[in-house]
Amino acid sequence: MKKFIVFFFVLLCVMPLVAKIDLNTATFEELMQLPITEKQARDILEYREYVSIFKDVYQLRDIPSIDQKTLLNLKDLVVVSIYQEEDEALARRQQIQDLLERLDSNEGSSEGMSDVWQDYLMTPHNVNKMHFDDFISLPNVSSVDAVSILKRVALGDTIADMRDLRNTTGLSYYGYTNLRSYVYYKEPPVKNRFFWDAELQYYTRYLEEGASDMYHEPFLRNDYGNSSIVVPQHKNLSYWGYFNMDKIDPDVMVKLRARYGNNYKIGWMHYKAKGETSLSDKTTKEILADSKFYAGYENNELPLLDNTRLKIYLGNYRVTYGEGLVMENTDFYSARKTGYGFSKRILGITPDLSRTQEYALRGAAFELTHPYAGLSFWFSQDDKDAIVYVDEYGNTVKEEGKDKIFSYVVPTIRFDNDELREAEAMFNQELQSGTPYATNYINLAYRKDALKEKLWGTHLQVNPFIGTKIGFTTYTALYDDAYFMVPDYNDLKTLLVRDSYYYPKFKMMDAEIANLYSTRTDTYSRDYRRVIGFDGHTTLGNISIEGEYAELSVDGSDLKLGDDPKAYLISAHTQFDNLYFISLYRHYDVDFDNPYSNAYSEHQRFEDTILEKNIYALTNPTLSDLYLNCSQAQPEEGIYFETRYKFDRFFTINRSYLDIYERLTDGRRSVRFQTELEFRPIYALGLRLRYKNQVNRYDDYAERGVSKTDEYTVSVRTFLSNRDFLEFEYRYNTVWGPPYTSLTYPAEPGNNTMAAAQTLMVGDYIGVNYTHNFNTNLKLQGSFIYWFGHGISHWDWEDMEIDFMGEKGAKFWVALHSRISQNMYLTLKYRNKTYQTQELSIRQYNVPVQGENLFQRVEHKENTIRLSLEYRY
Amino acid sequence: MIKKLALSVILSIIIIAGLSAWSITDDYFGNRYGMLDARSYAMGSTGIFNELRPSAITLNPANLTLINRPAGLEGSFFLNRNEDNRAVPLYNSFDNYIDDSVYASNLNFYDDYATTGFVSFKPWKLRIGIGAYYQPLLSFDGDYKEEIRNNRNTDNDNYPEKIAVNTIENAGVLNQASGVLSLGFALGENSELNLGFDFGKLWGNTKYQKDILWTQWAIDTVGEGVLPDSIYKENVDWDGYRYKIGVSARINKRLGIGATYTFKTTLDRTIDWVKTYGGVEVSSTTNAKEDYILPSEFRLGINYQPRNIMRTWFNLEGEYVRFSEIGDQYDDVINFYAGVEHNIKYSLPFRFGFQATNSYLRTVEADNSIIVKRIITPMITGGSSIPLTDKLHLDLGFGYSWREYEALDLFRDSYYDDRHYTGENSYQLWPNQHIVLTDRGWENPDKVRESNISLSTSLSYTW
Repeated sequence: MKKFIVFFFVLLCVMPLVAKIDLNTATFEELMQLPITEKQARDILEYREYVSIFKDVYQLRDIPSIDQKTLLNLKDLVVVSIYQEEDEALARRQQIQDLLERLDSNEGSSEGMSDVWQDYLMTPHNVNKMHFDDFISLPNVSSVDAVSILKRVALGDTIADMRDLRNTTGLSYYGYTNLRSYVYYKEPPVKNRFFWDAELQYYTRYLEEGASDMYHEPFLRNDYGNSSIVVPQHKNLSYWGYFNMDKIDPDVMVKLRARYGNNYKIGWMHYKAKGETSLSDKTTKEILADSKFYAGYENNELPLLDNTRLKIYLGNYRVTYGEGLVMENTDFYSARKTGYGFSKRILGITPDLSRTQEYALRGAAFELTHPYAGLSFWFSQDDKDAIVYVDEYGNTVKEEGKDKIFSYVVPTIRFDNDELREAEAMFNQELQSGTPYATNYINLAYRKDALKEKLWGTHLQVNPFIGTKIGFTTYTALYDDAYFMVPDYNDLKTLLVRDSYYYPKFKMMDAEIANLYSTRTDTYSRDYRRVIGFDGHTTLGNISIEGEYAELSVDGSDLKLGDDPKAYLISAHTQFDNLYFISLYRHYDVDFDNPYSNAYSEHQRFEDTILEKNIYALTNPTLSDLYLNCSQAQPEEGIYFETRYKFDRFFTINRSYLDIYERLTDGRRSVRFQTELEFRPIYALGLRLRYKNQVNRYDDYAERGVSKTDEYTVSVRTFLSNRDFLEFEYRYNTVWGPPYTSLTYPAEPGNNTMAAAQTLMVGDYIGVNYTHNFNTNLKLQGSFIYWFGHGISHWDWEDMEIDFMGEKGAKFWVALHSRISQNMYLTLKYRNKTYQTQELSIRQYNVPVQGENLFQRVEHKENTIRLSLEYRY
Repeated sequence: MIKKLALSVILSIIIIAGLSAWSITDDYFGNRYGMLDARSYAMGSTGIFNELRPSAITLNPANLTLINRPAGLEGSFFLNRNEDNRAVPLYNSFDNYIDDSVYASNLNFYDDYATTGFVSFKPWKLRIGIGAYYQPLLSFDGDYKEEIRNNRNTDNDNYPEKIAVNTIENAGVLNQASGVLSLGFALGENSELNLGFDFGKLWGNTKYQKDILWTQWAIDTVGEGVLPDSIYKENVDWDGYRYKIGVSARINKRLGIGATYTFKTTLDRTIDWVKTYGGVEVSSTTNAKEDYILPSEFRLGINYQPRNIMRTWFNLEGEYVRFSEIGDQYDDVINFYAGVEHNIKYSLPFRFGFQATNSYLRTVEADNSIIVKRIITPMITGGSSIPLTDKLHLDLGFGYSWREYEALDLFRDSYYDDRHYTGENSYQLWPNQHIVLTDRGWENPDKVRESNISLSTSLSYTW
């Protein structure tokens, strides 16, 4: 650490002070010359070393052993020099601490991007040399803001400081406040130096409801319905029991990053999720395969090319262009990702230490950008997890010597292949021991690193005017040893559904699965997947318009538009001082299956398919992973409007939106609307009213799938002194559905008829959130919620993650945020959640099918703990 | 004939059950005490580099001279509330395993204490210290009660009949009394090196008892002298020595590093046990000798004291335990500890910590093979301190830990099949004939959820 000790003495005061003892520099021996005891001298030294440098003599009273009398005795004998321990990086970190914490807390929703933004905060860009894409990749900085600055700079003006930036014509207040921390003007706040970050996370979590259901599904013989058979109810006939998922098994993440200025960067990350092999039990080869790492070089001042940027990365990198239709590689889905506000994309090539594994790119990437043009290309070679066709012995089925693949998949747990095959062998044994099912063995199974993928891609961009750009993006994924093969809709159900009794469960929505991309069909056979697209962006006054068009090469020509499955999106953003509008239109064909896309949508792909709704009917319940962790958008067509308007300092309409869309697979039409009014009579008090409404299949009330959801939330927020915060929140929901009468026998006198579902479900919750700052270095956050769902699922955004709460229960959590030192940050969070799931018909243990059944609610109790330790230097 | 056959089956089950380890958790490896010192306890049981409390020498003998005081005394009291819930798998009407249903819930309190003392003196640039401490190392205390009931009359809102009562009563600790020697060398104004040696004597007496006692209702229903009670008693004496070496080094004003290595220890266990079945002793052993291995441990940690507006200590430690020294079934484990002390006001510390430790559940199968399952126990801790005088401190620590794991059913279901004893074809103790009383093995284990709430109090004085 580089230190500078700066002394400032007022000249006139120098002589009288010479004989006095300086509290900030005195040694023990010097202090002992004062009329104080040895203990008091040691206490002064300890205070100076471990608590605070003295800023004035009265601070001595913070030391318990020094009373008022001693202070008065010392007052004329000591002096406090202005002592400043100056470290540029520390000072900068102090400046941006709040933003760093906010990025940390949003890490869950912006997986992998926080690192990039944190680096920008520490080592900002020169605002006078930034490119259009640099600006619009920053959170809450709009294209209109970017253009206003770029136009000013293009006229030869130089932005000299923050105040000068504020004076930029056309720059919104929000744009300015969000931008100012990411840029510098003349001199960077921190000169080139070595930075490094280390992060450790330990998290004992529980699987979410969908994944838990998936792993609980048993593998049973077909003759279990026969009451004469004593059923060997075995817990280990499910993945849950076999892999002992009841035990506490933490997620552990270790991340190390180092860089020299903004030029040389390296990083390594290993993430082990619940149920996976821990780092200490892996071989070096396995650690290498499962880790993320990179080494990169960036240069913003190339010698011959003015204001041209170069980026070269080896290892893991992330690529994002346009609206994410051709390429935005991530495993994580995010609903309504408009690309505006805080829902941003970081355009271009960036290093990647996110938890993304499946769609991680590993290889080499190159990017050259200039204010007028840009060029990048990348190459990746990585083994991908996949759902593969397997025979009854667990071996991968071959098609002309190549592995037969069903799909890419992001698994909830990356099981070891050998352990998985042992489990499947046992499950198959059970399935085959009774009356045969239509499919009496696991025919589709998850396999780790089963697909050898080579991927190359390129992006070309021309920026003819300020704020206007046209880009072309393409990638090709090569599969030398595999064919992707997905049967037609009519044949698919026999592949996915174990028991022919459940074939009726296979519905029109499942065409989404049938439209997964095949590399081998009746009309062609190839070894690649190719997506081609172009994007554009322009800014006119206070309006910016952007869009992207992409095609997946199937039967058509690569060069011809419209002859292949396509996806396109266009959006406009209009900005005023206290008001903005976003309008967005999108259309994604059902057969546009691009796993590397991550565009705007209301729902993720495969929602409402058999993969979500009828896990029990699948030949392998873990096929549900295809839906649970899918990062692709559902095929939709629709238009979305969003706005925010601040009337005055009392009233604001917070982010509000209306989305009208049609699900293209089955034509279901939906409307979703949300608005929030905030009334803030005084700064310290806010009242929020939020209303959300969603209607599915609004045009057809005869359809059983109609549902209408209303959600009302009221919250009172108080901003107390010392940045403490207290909030009370109440939410009331109703979900309406048409009557769902289930007739177990024909409706005639004497027969058993019953209505088996409700037409109106009502749920509510009440919660209180509290934040207490003991001081700037210690913060306590906590929350308590009691909810009643009755069929409705509630959601709650905690400090760093979203939590879904079904049925009824109560939970509380507390998080301690401790800044150990300027460089070290520790968070410890504990959550206790007790809840009940739906009423279920329970079989008594060791009682056959026709024996005594009970109806019970199942209670769950969860203790969750998360430790996060970060060191930044 | 049927009765004799049934008797032999039941007898074999009892003997197997007797041979196998007690399934109550940690009955073989015991409950490991962490630091009993309330300050360390509140900081996630950290303190491999600790200069503030006399009991620091129990974790690292080199801390004795690091403390840099002529003498110190400390006593600690520890109270633990253990809740043990055992659940049976629960299936829905489609035979899906959906969750678990608690069938036995036990709540018990345990307490213990530890004491420490040392003196040290400072000839030249050296500091030499000797100390001694007593602490319980492993606790085998454990109480368990479970009622076997049928489900008759439950439809009419009545309590079902009680068939049998099963109990486990384990008691005793493995004690450690150690002598500690430490040498400290001043390397510079703010740096020093301390080396310490810990010579520990381990001893203890533990008792185990596991009973199945039929109720009077069951006896009245079936008839006198038909249902045999089962009682197993075991007495174990422990004896051995344990050695530890440690180093604690102050690198500068802010950073300290500590490390210890505890040698693999083989203890002698002398075991007496007796099984009675229906009031008749069916087998017993006296004076059986057995080796018991405590694996070697390596612990490394840092202490960081930054400049902070709250006087702050931060400890981060890792511990590598070589369980593989016990047998091939075991993997070595790494335990993790972290703790912080912030003085919110000058003498008002706020401590909190976290630890994640690994232990093993050891089960001996019918064929004498050993099944081991690793259990992770996360724990959060907190605490504070009251300075009674400048040198006399009362520390308070609080901890909450829980664990969730699978274990075999403690008392196998087939024992309650009264047909074995009566020779009849139908149950008399059970309300219908649908019930199939089969033993649950690992294909259908219990789910155990334990939680511990602990309080630790220490009174320390340093001269």
